[in-house]
Amino acid sequence: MSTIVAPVHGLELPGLTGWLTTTDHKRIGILYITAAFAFFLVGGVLAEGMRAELAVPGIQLVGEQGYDQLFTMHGTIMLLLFGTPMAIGLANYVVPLQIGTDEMSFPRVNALSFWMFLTGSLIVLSSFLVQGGPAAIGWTGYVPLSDATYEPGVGVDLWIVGLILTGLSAVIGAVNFIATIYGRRTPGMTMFRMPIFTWNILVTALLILFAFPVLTAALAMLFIDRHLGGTFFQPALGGSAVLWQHLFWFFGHPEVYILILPFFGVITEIVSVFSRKPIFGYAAFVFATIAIASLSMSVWAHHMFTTGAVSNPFFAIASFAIAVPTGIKFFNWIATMWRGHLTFETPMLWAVGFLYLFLLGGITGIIVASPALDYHLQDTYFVVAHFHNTLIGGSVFAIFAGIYYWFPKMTGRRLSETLGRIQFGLWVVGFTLTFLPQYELGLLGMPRRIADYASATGWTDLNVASTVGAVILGLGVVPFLVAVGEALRRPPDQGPDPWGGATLEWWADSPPPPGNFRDLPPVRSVRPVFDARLEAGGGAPT
Amino acid sequence: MRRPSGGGLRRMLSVVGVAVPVAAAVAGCLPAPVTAQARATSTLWTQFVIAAAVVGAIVWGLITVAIVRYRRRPADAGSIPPQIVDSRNLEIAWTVLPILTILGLFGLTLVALGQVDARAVSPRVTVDVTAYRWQWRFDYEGTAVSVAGGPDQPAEMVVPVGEPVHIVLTSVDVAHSFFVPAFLFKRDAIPGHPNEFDVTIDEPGVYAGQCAEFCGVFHDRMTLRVRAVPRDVFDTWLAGQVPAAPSTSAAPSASAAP
Amino acid sequence: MRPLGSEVTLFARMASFGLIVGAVYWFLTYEVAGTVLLSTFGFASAIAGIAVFVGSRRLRRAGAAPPDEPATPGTAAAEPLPHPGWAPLGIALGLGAVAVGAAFGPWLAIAGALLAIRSAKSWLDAAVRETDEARGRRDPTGTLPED
Repeated sequence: MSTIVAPVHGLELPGLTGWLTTTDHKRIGILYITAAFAFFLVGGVLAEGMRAELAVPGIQLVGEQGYDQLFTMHGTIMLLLFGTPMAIGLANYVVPLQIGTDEMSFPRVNALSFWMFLTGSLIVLSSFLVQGGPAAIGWTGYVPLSDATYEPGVGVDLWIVGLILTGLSAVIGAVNFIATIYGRRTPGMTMFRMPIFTWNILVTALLILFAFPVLTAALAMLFIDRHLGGTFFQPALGGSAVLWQHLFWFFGHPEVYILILPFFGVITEIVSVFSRKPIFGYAAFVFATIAIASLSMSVWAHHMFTTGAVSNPFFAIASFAIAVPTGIKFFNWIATMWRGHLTFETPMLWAVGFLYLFLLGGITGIIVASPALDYHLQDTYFVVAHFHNTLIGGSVFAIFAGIYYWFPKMTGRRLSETLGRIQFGLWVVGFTLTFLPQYELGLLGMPRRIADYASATGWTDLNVASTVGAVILGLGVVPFLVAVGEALRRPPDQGPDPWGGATLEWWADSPPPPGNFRDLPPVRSVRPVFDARLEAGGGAPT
Repeated sequence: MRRPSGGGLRRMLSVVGVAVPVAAAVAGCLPAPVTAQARATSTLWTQFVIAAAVVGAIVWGLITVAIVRYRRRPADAGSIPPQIVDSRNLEIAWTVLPILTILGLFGLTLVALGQVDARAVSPRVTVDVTAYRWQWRFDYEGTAVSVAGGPDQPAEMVVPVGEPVHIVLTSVDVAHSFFVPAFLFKRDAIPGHPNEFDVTIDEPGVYAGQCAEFCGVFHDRMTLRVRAVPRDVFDTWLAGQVPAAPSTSAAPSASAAP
Repeated sequence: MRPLGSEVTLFARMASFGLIVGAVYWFLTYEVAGTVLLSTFGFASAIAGIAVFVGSRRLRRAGAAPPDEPATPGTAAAEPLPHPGWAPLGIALGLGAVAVGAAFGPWLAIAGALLAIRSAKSWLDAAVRETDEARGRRDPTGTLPED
């Protein structure tokens, strides 16, 4: 057992000042998670507004313009202000602990990326306050609809500059993670002894590094087109509307893997811990993650099958290929559980929910990856159901798994199991009821992004079901908020390792003090804490 | 809980036995295809759904078995389960099987794609479809006939059944998408990037469609209809149309709010 | 010790993926935008890989323990951690004002730029001060040490 040199630590300042001036990765992680969750609630409210408008035929609540603004902001918020920063927030808290270090490589840069993210996000949201309201262009911002001719409002400008800021923030954050993971691992922790979550964060950071600058560049080009007389995307003046789609999706498809790879990592950790078994096929997990990331850079135009401007077979086979590493992960998760001693505390409950639901998202992903089928399904509710299936049944379920899993580490308190189960139940029912009808609506031909439909289409019943489901999902957030409030009122009572964890974050106190570790166990495998427990004679965890 | 030998095969068969009816039920959710191209798409959909049901049944089945059979029991207290870390043969198997599956699905996709994207050598009818906010205009090549929608009246494209109709799709403002669910087909209308495709309607009827690419505030009202009629009815209809105003410029009057 | 650590091979893999797929894509489609994007991805990965390779060699020559080697547990690098400070928040708010200024008008942008520059200055000062403290030769006048 070794002792790391106590680092020279700046004092944490008290109260709100402390949070505003902090450079501690744990505090920044909590700031990220809290802000991202707040944006999740905002995005959720917008979604409820959309479902209310769509519940029955007719324009009843927000109107067509209002509806278009809702889905634009809903998509933007959920993907860029909630999903990505939530992953970065969990990583901020957990990665330095998992690699046994005291800080990120560049703590002040870390603080800068959080504040840039928050500033950019608030700029995007501030468009609700300006005249004309927020952008109504879809989160994809397709030109020419988003150019100055069709959407002259300042809402689009705020959307552009806000997203440029959050994009820059993500890139400097990614550099920080790569530097930290490469440079600050505790001695003994080789690359192939890193926890899978850390591996996935590393690969996600690489994706951010290569994908976000493309978005930033495209947004800058759009801004130039709008205000400085540019013609990048204006076909009448020699530009190309298809170019925007290439640039946007060259960012946009890696982005959806940025939104899932970290959470694959969360699920991997949880499945292993709650099965009391090592991760099955560790190396395969790592290579599958790298394969998914690489392939994700070469599938962008499967969003463009119906444009008639791309090689559909090329993008079809590249997209199909992602099923192979994803399948490997699925079988590895199952094999990790196989012959284990499974218990179903809330983190594992969400993880199992993830396995069931994400599989459906993966399978429907194969369906829309076939251009011939996509000719029918593209831009219908089938696609809407598919990506909500992967992002809610996948990412959000894994986010809750991760929050329930690491909450004791972050606060020294466990979230209520009872409330957790209630929330899980509501979410499984709500998710199913919201999105399964949307698959069928898509097959029937209901396009996405429409504020209204005629009753003659026969889509009403399925839409009613979907709206009821959305209400249940909304209610499902309440037990979570209650559980967090209730837990924070209790005094901290958790030891370093409430779950029988295996990776280094479970060696530190809960919550860890500034500097994180008083000492560290030797790192001779992927599971140093498990090894240490075994050596101490307490192999069987709680 | 050892199973008798042969259980693996029987389990496999029961998986398929569940999967195929499920697949058949789900496959029936698609609108009935009314074009030659849509029949290819529909067949492909059924093939995909069967594959999906088999994969889903296997994986969901394995997950369920794992969480039911390997949940911790009182007898497990104080012991740790076997710490297995990998198995080369298994891992090769579940890498190779998905590869074969996707290659198969890719092959089926190529076949269907070839049929859907096929072009007739010399279609007798060519319609120039122009999308604009928030209406459609149909110009029949070789004639002066031009049909456009108006307020509360979707544009209607009349075409003959049983023969390929060639469509040239353009947009004069933002991106739109020509989508008729009964054709199981859509194609984007992108300014500066004309698209062409053929559609061969088998059954006479009126098929509703609408814009599928978000194009601004009245996107939801940008509907259209396709009326498929026998050739002689089509000829009569075409001959009876009042030729459009001499202006054949591509740009329609600024925007026609429906 | 292997000639290339896993850190570098990761980038090398991504680089070769981008370049090979970029080439395949070009000859299948002759489509410019995607080819440029894919090969730029490849080149960017290659540059990042080279930077990591060079950096790790320099570290090794300087005698730092490479973390990729299964070593006996030792000490983590002790270096000064920054004190809390307002600089990151100030720069972010300044950049935010610059961004909003781009949409609303230059005055906001100028004010934002001033705030960002002012905060960057205090960032730099703090960093220099902390480095000096750690080296135990803090110059009380606060001027830069010659280094």
